[in-house]
Amino acid sequence: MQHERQWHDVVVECQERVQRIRAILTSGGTLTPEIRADLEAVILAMRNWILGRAKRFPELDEDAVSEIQLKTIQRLDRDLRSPGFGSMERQFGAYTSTTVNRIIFEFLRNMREQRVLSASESLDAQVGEEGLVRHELIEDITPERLAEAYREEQLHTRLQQAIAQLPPHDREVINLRLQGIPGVEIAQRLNLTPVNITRIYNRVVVRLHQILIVEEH
Amino acid sequence: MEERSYFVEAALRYEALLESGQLIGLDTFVAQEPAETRDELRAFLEFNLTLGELDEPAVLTAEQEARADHVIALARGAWEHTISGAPVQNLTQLRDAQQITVGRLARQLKLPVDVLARMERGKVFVASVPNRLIEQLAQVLHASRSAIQAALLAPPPATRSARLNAVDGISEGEEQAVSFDRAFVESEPTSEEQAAWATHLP
Repeated sequence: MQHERQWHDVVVECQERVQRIRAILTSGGTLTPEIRADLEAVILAMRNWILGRAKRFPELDEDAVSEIQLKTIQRLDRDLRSPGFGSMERQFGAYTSTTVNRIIFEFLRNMREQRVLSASESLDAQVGEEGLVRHELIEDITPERLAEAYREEQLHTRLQQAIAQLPPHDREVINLRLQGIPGVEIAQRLNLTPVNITRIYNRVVVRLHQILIVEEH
Repeated sequence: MEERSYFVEAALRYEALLESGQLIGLDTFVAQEPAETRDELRAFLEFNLTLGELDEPAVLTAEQEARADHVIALARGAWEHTISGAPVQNLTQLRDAQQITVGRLARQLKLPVDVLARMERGKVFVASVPNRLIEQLAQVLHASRSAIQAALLAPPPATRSARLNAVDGISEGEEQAVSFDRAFVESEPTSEEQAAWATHLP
Protein backbone atom coordinates (compact mmCIF):
# COMPACT_ATOMS: atom_id res chain seq x y z
CA MET A 1 0.00 0.00 0.00
CA GLN A 2 2.87 2.31 0.90
CA HIS A 3 4.47 1.57 -2.46
CA GLU A 4 1.19 2.27 -4.27
CA ARG A 5 0.85 5.68 -2.64
CA GLN A 6 4.42 6.61 -3.57
CA TRP A 7 3.76 5.55 -7.15
CA HIS A 8 0.63 7.74 -7.30
CA ASP A 9 2.64 10.66 -5.89
CA VAL A 10 5.18 10.28 -8.69
CA VAL A 11 2.38 10.39 -11.29
CA VAL A 12 1.01 13.59 -9.76
CA GLU A 13 4.48 15.12 -9.56
CA CYS A 14 5.18 14.23 -13.21
CA GLN A 15 1.86 15.74 -14.24
CA GLU A 16 2.82 19.05 -12.62
CA ARG A 17 6.21 18.96 -14.33
CA VAL A 18 4.52 18.22 -17.68
CA GLN A 19 2.28 21.26 -17.24
CA ARG A 20 5.35 23.47 -16.70
CA ILE A 21 7.22 21.97 -19.68
CA ARG A 22 4.26 22.31 -22.03
CA ALA A 23 3.63 25.90 -20.95
CA ILE A 24 7.11 26.70 -22.33
CA LEU A 25 7.34 24.35 -25.32
CA THR A 26 3.89 25.04 -26.78
CA SER A 27 4.33 28.80 -26.56
CA GLY A 28 7.72 28.93 -28.29
CA GLY A 29 9.59 29.83 -25.09
CA THR A 30 13.19 28.84 -24.38
CA LEU A 31 14.18 26.02 -22.08
CA THR A 32 15.48 27.08 -18.71
CA PRO A 33 17.64 24.76 -16.56
CA GLU A 34 14.57 24.22 -14.33
CA ILE A 35 12.46 23.04 -17.26
CA ARG A 36 15.26 20.76 -18.41
CA ALA A 37 15.38 19.29 -14.90
CA ASP A 38 11.60 18.73 -15.11
CA LEU A 39 12.02 16.90 -18.40
CA GLU A 40 14.82 14.71 -17.04
CA ALA A 41 12.70 13.80 -14.01
CA VAL A 42 9.71 12.84 -16.18
CA ILE A 43 11.87 10.70 -18.46
CA LEU A 44 13.49 8.94 -15.50
CA ALA A 45 10.09 8.12 -14.00
CA MET A 46 8.79 6.81 -17.34
CA ARG A 47 11.88 4.65 -17.84
CA ASN A 48 10.95 2.42 -14.89
CA TRP A 49 7.27 2.26 -15.76
CA ILE A 50 8.07 1.15 -19.28
CA LEU A 51 10.22 -1.65 -17.97
CA GLY A 52 7.51 -2.68 -15.49
CA ARG A 53 4.98 -2.95 -18.29
CA ALA A 54 7.28 -4.62 -20.79
CA LYS A 55 8.02 -7.36 -18.23
CA ARG A 56 4.48 -8.61 -18.80
CA PHE A 57 5.48 -9.65 -22.30
CA PRO A 58 8.11 -12.39 -22.10
CA GLU A 59 8.45 -12.42 -25.90
CA LEU A 60 10.06 -8.96 -25.75
CA ASP A 61 13.80 -9.37 -25.29
CA GLU A 62 16.10 -6.72 -23.81
CA ASP A 63 16.81 -5.13 -27.20
CA ALA A 64 13.10 -4.85 -27.91
CA VAL A 65 12.46 -3.29 -24.50
CA SER A 66 15.23 -0.74 -25.06
CA GLU A 67 13.74 0.13 -28.44
CA ILE A 68 10.31 0.55 -26.84
CA GLN A 69 11.86 2.86 -24.24
CA LEU A 70 13.48 4.91 -26.98
CA LYS A 71 10.28 5.17 -29.04
CA THR A 72 8.31 6.20 -25.95
CA ILE A 73 10.77 8.96 -25.06
CA GLN A 74 10.71 10.19 -28.67
CA ARG A 75 6.91 10.15 -28.53
CA LEU A 76 6.93 12.08 -25.26
CA ASP A 77 9.24 14.67 -26.78
CA ARG A 78 6.85 15.20 -29.72
CA ASP A 79 3.67 15.23 -27.65
CA LEU A 80 5.10 17.73 -25.17
CA ARG A 81 5.39 20.19 -28.05
CA SER A 82 2.03 19.36 -29.59
CA PRO A 83 -0.73 21.86 -28.74
CA GLY A 84 -3.28 19.11 -29.48
CA PHE A 85 -2.06 16.90 -26.65
CA GLY A 86 -3.32 18.94 -23.73
CA SER A 87 -4.90 15.80 -22.22
CA MET A 88 -1.46 14.66 -21.03
CA GLU A 89 -1.50 17.57 -18.55
CA ARG A 90 -4.67 16.23 -16.95
CA GLN A 91 -4.32 12.47 -17.43
CA PHE A 92 -0.58 11.90 -17.38
CA GLY A 93 -0.86 8.39 -15.92
CA ALA A 94 -3.37 7.36 -18.61
CA TYR A 95 -1.29 9.11 -21.30
CA THR A 96 1.84 7.20 -20.29
CA SER A 97 0.23 3.78 -20.07
CA THR A 98 -1.71 4.26 -23.33
CA THR A 99 1.35 5.50 -25.21
CA VAL A 100 3.54 2.64 -23.98
CA ASN A 101 0.73 0.17 -24.71
CA ARG A 102 0.40 1.51 -28.24
CA ILE A 103 4.11 1.15 -28.92
CA ILE A 104 4.16 -2.37 -27.44
CA PHE A 105 1.02 -3.25 -29.45
CA GLU A 106 2.70 -2.19 -32.71
CA PHE A 107 5.88 -4.00 -31.76
CA LEU A 108 4.08 -7.27 -31.02
CA ARG A 109 2.00 -6.97 -34.19
CA ASN A 110 5.14 -6.55 -36.30
CA MET A 111 6.73 -9.55 -34.59
CA ARG A 112 3.64 -11.68 -35.26
CA GLU A 113 3.42 -10.57 -38.88
CA GLN A 114 7.03 -11.57 -39.35
CA ARG A 115 6.34 -14.97 -37.82
CA VAL A 116 3.39 -15.47 -40.19
CA LEU A 117 5.56 -14.48 -43.13
CA SER A 118 8.28 -16.92 -42.17
CA ALA A 119 5.68 -19.60 -41.55
CA SER A 120 4.27 -19.16 -45.06
CA GLU A 121 7.56 -19.89 -46.84
CA SER A 122 7.47 -22.57 -49.49
CA LEU A 123 7.97 -26.18 -48.41
CA ASP A 124 9.86 -26.74 -51.66
CA ALA A 125 12.42 -24.02 -50.95
CA GLN A 126 15.98 -25.23 -50.57
CA VAL A 127 17.50 -24.58 -47.18
CA GLY A 128 21.00 -24.98 -45.79
CA GLU A 129 24.20 -25.90 -47.56
CA GLU A 130 23.11 -29.50 -48.14
CA GLY A 131 20.52 -28.37 -50.69
CA LEU A 132 17.68 -30.13 -48.86
CA VAL A 133 14.15 -28.93 -49.48
CA ARG A 134 12.27 -27.69 -46.43
CA HIS A 135 9.62 -30.44 -46.34
CA GLU A 136 12.35 -33.07 -46.00
CA LEU A 137 13.46 -31.42 -42.78
CA ILE A 138 10.06 -31.51 -41.11
CA GLU A 139 10.12 -34.04 -38.31
CA ASP A 140 7.61 -36.82 -37.89
CA ILE A 141 5.73 -37.12 -34.61
CA THR A 142 8.28 -38.33 -32.10
CA PRO A 143 7.81 -39.70 -28.55
CA GLU A 144 9.17 -36.34 -27.29
CA ARG A 145 6.51 -34.41 -29.18
CA LEU A 146 3.80 -36.73 -27.93
CA ALA A 147 5.09 -36.21 -24.37
CA GLU A 148 4.98 -32.45 -24.87
CA ALA A 149 1.38 -32.62 -26.11
CA TYR A 150 0.51 -34.76 -23.07
CA ARG A 151 2.12 -32.22 -20.71
CA GLU A 152 0.11 -29.42 -22.34
CA GLU A 153 -3.10 -31.37 -21.87
CA GLN A 154 -2.23 -32.02 -18.21
CA LEU A 155 -1.54 -28.33 -17.67
CA HIS A 156 -4.90 -27.45 -19.20
CA THR A 157 -6.66 -29.87 -16.83
CA ARG A 158 -4.79 -28.44 -13.81
CA LEU A 159 -5.74 -24.92 -14.88
CA GLN A 160 -9.42 -25.88 -15.04
CA GLN A 161 -9.15 -27.44 -11.57
CA ALA A 162 -7.46 -24.29 -10.24
CA ILE A 163 -10.23 -22.11 -11.70
CA ALA A 164 -12.80 -24.30 -9.96
CA GLN A 165 -11.16 -23.36 -6.61
CA LEU A 166 -11.73 -19.63 -7.16
CA PRO A 167 -14.63 -17.68 -5.58
CA PRO A 168 -17.71 -17.69 -7.87
CA HIS A 169 -17.34 -14.03 -8.87
CA ASP A 170 -13.67 -14.37 -9.84
CA ARG A 171 -14.45 -17.63 -11.65
CA GLU A 172 -17.11 -15.89 -13.67
CA VAL A 173 -14.72 -13.12 -14.75
CA ILE A 174 -11.90 -15.46 -15.73
CA ASN A 175 -14.22 -17.85 -17.59
CA LEU A 176 -15.72 -14.98 -19.59
CA ARG A 177 -12.21 -13.68 -20.41
CA LEU A 178 -11.13 -17.17 -21.49
CA GLN A 179 -14.11 -17.26 -23.85
CA GLY A 180 -12.61 -14.18 -25.52
CA ILE A 181 -15.27 -11.76 -24.29
CA PRO A 182 -13.87 -8.20 -24.11
CA GLY A 183 -13.31 -6.65 -20.67
CA VAL A 184 -15.76 -3.85 -21.44
CA GLU A 185 -18.54 -6.31 -22.26
CA ILE A 186 -17.84 -8.29 -19.07
CA ALA A 187 -18.04 -5.02 -17.14
CA GLN A 188 -21.46 -4.34 -18.65
CA ARG A 189 -22.71 -7.87 -17.91
CA LEU A 190 -21.53 -7.80 -14.29
CA ASN A 191 -22.39 -4.14 -13.75
CA LEU A 192 -18.80 -3.18 -12.92
CA THR A 193 -16.35 -0.70 -14.44
CA PRO A 194 -13.76 -1.97 -16.96
CA VAL A 195 -11.01 -0.85 -14.59
CA ASN A 196 -12.46 -3.11 -11.88
CA ILE A 197 -12.61 -6.00 -14.32
CA THR A 198 -8.93 -5.47 -15.14
CA ARG A 199 -8.07 -5.45 -11.43
CA ILE A 200 -10.05 -8.64 -10.79
CA TYR A 201 -8.48 -10.29 -13.82
CA ASN A 202 -4.94 -9.38 -12.75
CA ARG A 203 -5.62 -10.59 -9.19
CA VAL A 204 -7.07 -13.86 -10.46
CA VAL A 205 -4.08 -14.50 -12.73
CA VAL A 206 -1.75 -14.08 -9.73
CA ARG A 207 -3.96 -16.38 -7.63
CA LEU A 208 -4.04 -19.06 -10.34
CA HIS A 209 -0.29 -18.83 -10.64
CA GLN A 210 0.03 -19.38 -6.87
CA ILE A 211 -2.32 -22.38 -6.94
CA LEU A 212 -0.42 -24.00 -9.80
CA ILE A 213 2.98 -23.35 -8.18
CA VAL A 214 1.82 -24.84 -4.85
CA GLU A 215 0.52 -27.90 -6.70
CA GLU A 216 3.90 -28.38 -8.38
CA HIS A 217 5.61 -28.58 -5.00
CA MET B 1 -2.71 13.67 -37.09
CA GLU B 2 0.04 11.06 -37.08
CA GLU B 3 -1.26 7.49 -36.90
CA ARG B 4 0.11 6.62 -33.46
CA SER B 5 -1.15 9.89 -31.97
CA TYR B 6 -4.63 9.19 -33.27
CA PHE B 7 -4.87 5.79 -31.55
CA VAL B 8 -3.46 7.12 -28.28
CA GLU B 9 -5.79 10.11 -28.38
CA ALA B 10 -8.82 7.89 -29.18
CA ALA B 11 -7.94 5.55 -26.30
CA LEU B 12 -7.68 8.50 -23.91
CA ARG B 13 -11.05 9.80 -25.10
CA TYR B 14 -12.62 6.39 -24.51
CA GLU B 15 -11.08 6.06 -21.05
CA ALA B 16 -12.31 9.57 -20.16
CA LEU B 17 -15.86 8.55 -21.17
CA LEU B 18 -15.71 5.42 -19.00
CA GLU B 19 -14.21 7.31 -16.08
CA SER B 20 -17.02 9.86 -16.29
CA GLY B 21 -19.52 7.04 -15.82
CA GLN B 22 -20.70 6.73 -19.43
CA LEU B 23 -20.50 2.97 -19.94
CA ILE B 24 -20.38 3.11 -23.72
CA GLY B 25 -19.61 -0.26 -25.31
CA LEU B 26 -16.41 -0.76 -27.23
CA ASP B 27 -18.25 -1.47 -30.48
CA THR B 28 -20.47 1.60 -30.11
CA PHE B 29 -17.45 3.81 -29.52
CA VAL B 30 -15.49 2.32 -32.40
CA ALA B 31 -18.48 2.67 -34.76
CA GLN B 32 -18.28 6.45 -34.33
CA GLU B 33 -14.65 6.56 -35.49
CA PRO B 34 -13.40 6.75 -39.10
CA ALA B 35 -14.17 3.49 -40.94
CA GLU B 36 -10.56 2.86 -41.98
CA THR B 37 -9.37 2.87 -38.38
CA ARG B 38 -12.07 0.72 -36.76
CA ASP B 39 -10.50 -2.76 -36.88
CA GLU B 40 -7.15 -1.51 -35.68
CA LEU B 41 -8.72 0.75 -33.07
CA ARG B 42 -10.90 -2.01 -31.65
CA ALA B 43 -7.95 -4.37 -31.32
CA PHE B 44 -5.85 -1.69 -29.68
CA LEU B 45 -8.56 -0.53 -27.25
CA GLU B 46 -9.12 -4.11 -26.17
CA PHE B 47 -5.37 -4.57 -25.62
CA ASN B 48 -5.16 -1.27 -23.75
CA LEU B 49 -8.12 -2.03 -21.47
CA THR B 50 -6.89 -5.53 -20.71
CA LEU B 51 -3.53 -4.16 -19.59
CA GLY B 52 -5.25 -1.56 -17.43
CA GLU B 53 -3.56 1.13 -15.41
CA LEU B 54 0.16 1.68 -15.09
CA ASP B 55 2.12 -1.04 -13.37
CA GLU B 56 4.27 -0.19 -10.45
CA PRO B 57 7.65 1.00 -11.67
CA ALA B 58 10.19 -1.79 -11.97
CA VAL B 59 13.30 -1.89 -9.84
CA LEU B 60 16.11 -1.92 -12.35
CA THR B 61 19.17 -4.14 -12.20
CA ALA B 62 22.54 -2.49 -12.82
CA GLU B 63 22.56 -3.87 -16.36
CA GLN B 64 19.04 -2.65 -17.10
CA GLU B 65 19.96 0.73 -15.68
CA ALA B 66 23.00 0.94 -17.96
CA ARG B 67 20.89 0.01 -20.99
CA ALA B 68 18.22 2.55 -20.04
CA ASP B 69 20.88 5.25 -19.55
CA HIS B 70 22.19 4.50 -23.02
CA VAL B 71 18.68 4.91 -24.44
CA ILE B 72 18.09 8.18 -22.60
CA ALA B 73 21.48 9.56 -23.67
CA LEU B 74 20.61 8.70 -27.27
CA ALA B 75 17.23 10.41 -27.11
CA ARG B 76 18.71 13.40 -25.28
CA GLY B 77 21.49 13.80 -27.86
CA ALA B 78 19.00 13.76 -30.73
CA TRP B 79 16.76 16.17 -28.87
CA GLU B 80 19.62 18.61 -28.18
CA HIS B 81 20.46 18.55 -31.88
CA THR B 82 16.84 19.27 -32.84
CA ILE B 83 16.39 22.19 -30.46
CA SER B 84 19.72 23.68 -31.54
CA GLY B 85 17.95 24.45 -34.83
CA ALA B 86 20.53 22.57 -36.92
CA PRO B 87 18.99 20.63 -39.82
CA VAL B 88 18.30 16.98 -39.05
CA GLN B 89 19.65 14.65 -41.73
CA ASN B 90 19.36 10.89 -41.80
CA LEU B 91 22.42 8.67 -42.07
CA THR B 92 22.18 8.38 -45.86
CA GLN B 93 22.05 12.16 -46.25
CA LEU B 94 25.04 12.63 -43.96
CA ARG B 95 27.00 10.03 -45.93
CA ASP B 96 25.97 11.49 -49.29
CA ALA B 97 27.08 14.94 -48.10
CA GLN B 98 30.58 13.50 -47.62
CA GLN B 99 30.39 11.79 -51.04
CA ILE B 100 31.19 8.41 -49.56
CA THR B 101 29.57 5.22 -50.80
CA VAL B 102 27.95 2.89 -48.31
CA GLY B 103 30.58 0.25 -49.12
CA ARG B 104 33.49 2.61 -48.50
CA LEU B 105 32.02 3.87 -45.25
CA ALA B 106 31.44 0.28 -44.11
CA ARG B 107 35.09 -0.58 -44.87
CA GLN B 108 36.29 2.43 -42.91
CA LEU B 109 34.20 1.33 -39.94
CA LYS B 110 35.22 -2.34 -40.41
CA LEU B 111 31.51 -3.10 -40.47
CA PRO B 112 29.70 -5.50 -42.84
CA VAL B 113 28.11 -3.41 -45.57
CA ASP B 114 24.78 -5.19 -45.00
CA VAL B 115 24.68 -3.91 -41.44
CA LEU B 116 25.36 -0.32 -42.45
CA ALA B 117 22.83 -0.49 -45.30
CA ARG B 118 20.26 -1.97 -42.93
CA MET B 119 20.90 0.84 -40.45
CA GLU B 120 20.38 3.37 -43.24
CA ARG B 121 17.07 1.71 -44.09
CA GLY B 122 15.99 2.16 -40.46
CA LYS B 123 15.82 -1.60 -39.89
CA VAL B 124 18.24 -1.85 -36.99
CA PHE B 125 17.00 -1.01 -33.48
CA VAL B 126 18.64 2.34 -32.79
CA ALA B 127 18.79 1.62 -29.06
CA SER B 128 21.08 -1.34 -29.79
CA VAL B 129 23.64 0.62 -31.85
CA PRO B 130 26.91 0.66 -29.82
CA ASN B 131 28.24 3.98 -28.58
CA ARG B 132 31.55 3.24 -30.24
CA LEU B 133 29.88 3.08 -33.65
CA ILE B 134 28.13 6.41 -33.01
CA GLU B 135 31.49 7.97 -32.16
CA GLN B 136 33.18 6.50 -35.23
CA LEU B 137 30.35 7.63 -37.50
CA ALA B 138 30.68 11.15 -36.08
CA GLN B 139 34.40 11.12 -36.80
CA VAL B 140 34.20 9.73 -40.35
CA LEU B 141 31.18 11.81 -41.38
CA HIS B 142 32.56 15.01 -39.77
CA ALA B 143 29.43 15.45 -37.71
CA SER B 144 28.75 15.94 -34.03
CA ARG B 145 27.78 13.01 -31.87
CA SER B 146 24.31 14.51 -31.40
CA ALA B 147 23.92 14.92 -35.19
CA ILE B 148 24.58 11.17 -35.56
CA GLN B 149 22.12 10.36 -32.78
CA ALA B 150 19.51 12.54 -34.50
CA ALA B 151 20.36 10.92 -37.86
CA LEU B 152 19.79 7.44 -36.48
CA LEU B 153 16.36 8.48 -35.23
CA ALA B 154 15.42 10.47 -38.34
CA PRO B 155 13.09 8.86 -40.91
CA PRO B 156 15.10 6.79 -43.43
CA PRO B 157 14.92 7.50 -47.17
CA ALA B 158 11.52 6.52 -48.60
CA THR B 159 11.56 3.09 -50.21
CA ARG B 160 8.98 0.64 -51.44
CA SER B 161 7.60 -1.30 -48.51
CA ALA B 162 7.54 -4.55 -50.50
CA ARG B 163 10.80 -5.82 -51.96
CA LEU B 164 11.54 -8.44 -54.56
CA ASN B 165 13.41 -11.57 -53.61
CA ALA B 166 16.70 -11.57 -55.55
CA VAL B 167 16.49 -15.33 -56.22
CA ASP B 168 13.00 -15.91 -57.57
CA GLY B 169 11.54 -12.42 -57.95
CA ILE B 170 8.68 -13.17 -55.56
CA SER B 171 7.75 -10.12 -53.55
CA GLU B 172 8.90 -10.24 -49.95
CA GLY B 173 7.20 -8.70 -46.96
CA GLU B 174 8.46 -5.61 -45.23
CA GLU B 175 11.91 -6.04 -43.77
CA GLN B 176 11.95 -6.71 -40.05
CA ALA B 177 13.85 -4.38 -37.76
CA VAL B 178 16.38 -6.28 -35.68
CA SER B 179 19.03 -5.53 -33.06
CA PHE B 180 22.53 -4.50 -34.08
CA ASP B 181 23.87 -7.86 -32.84
CA ARG B 182 21.45 -9.84 -34.95
CA ALA B 183 21.99 -7.68 -38.03
CA PHE B 184 25.73 -8.21 -37.58
CA VAL B 185 25.46 -11.99 -37.27
CA GLU B 186 23.02 -12.25 -40.21
CA SER B 187 25.41 -10.27 -42.43
CA GLU B 188 28.00 -13.09 -42.32
CA PRO B 189 30.90 -10.84 -41.25
CA THR B 190 34.49 -11.47 -42.24
CA SER B 191 36.93 -12.47 -39.51
CA GLU B 192 38.37 -8.93 -39.56
CA GLU B 193 34.92 -7.39 -39.06
CA GLN B 194 34.14 -9.94 -36.40
CA ALA B 195 37.35 -9.06 -34.54
CA ALA B 196 36.68 -5.32 -34.84
CA TRP B 197 33.25 -5.56 -33.18
CA ALA B 198 33.66 -8.67 -31.03
CA THR B 199 33.49 -6.76 -27.75
CA HIS B 200 30.06 -5.38 -28.70
CA LEU B 201 28.55 -8.74 -29.56
CA PRO B 202 27.07 -11.25 -27.11
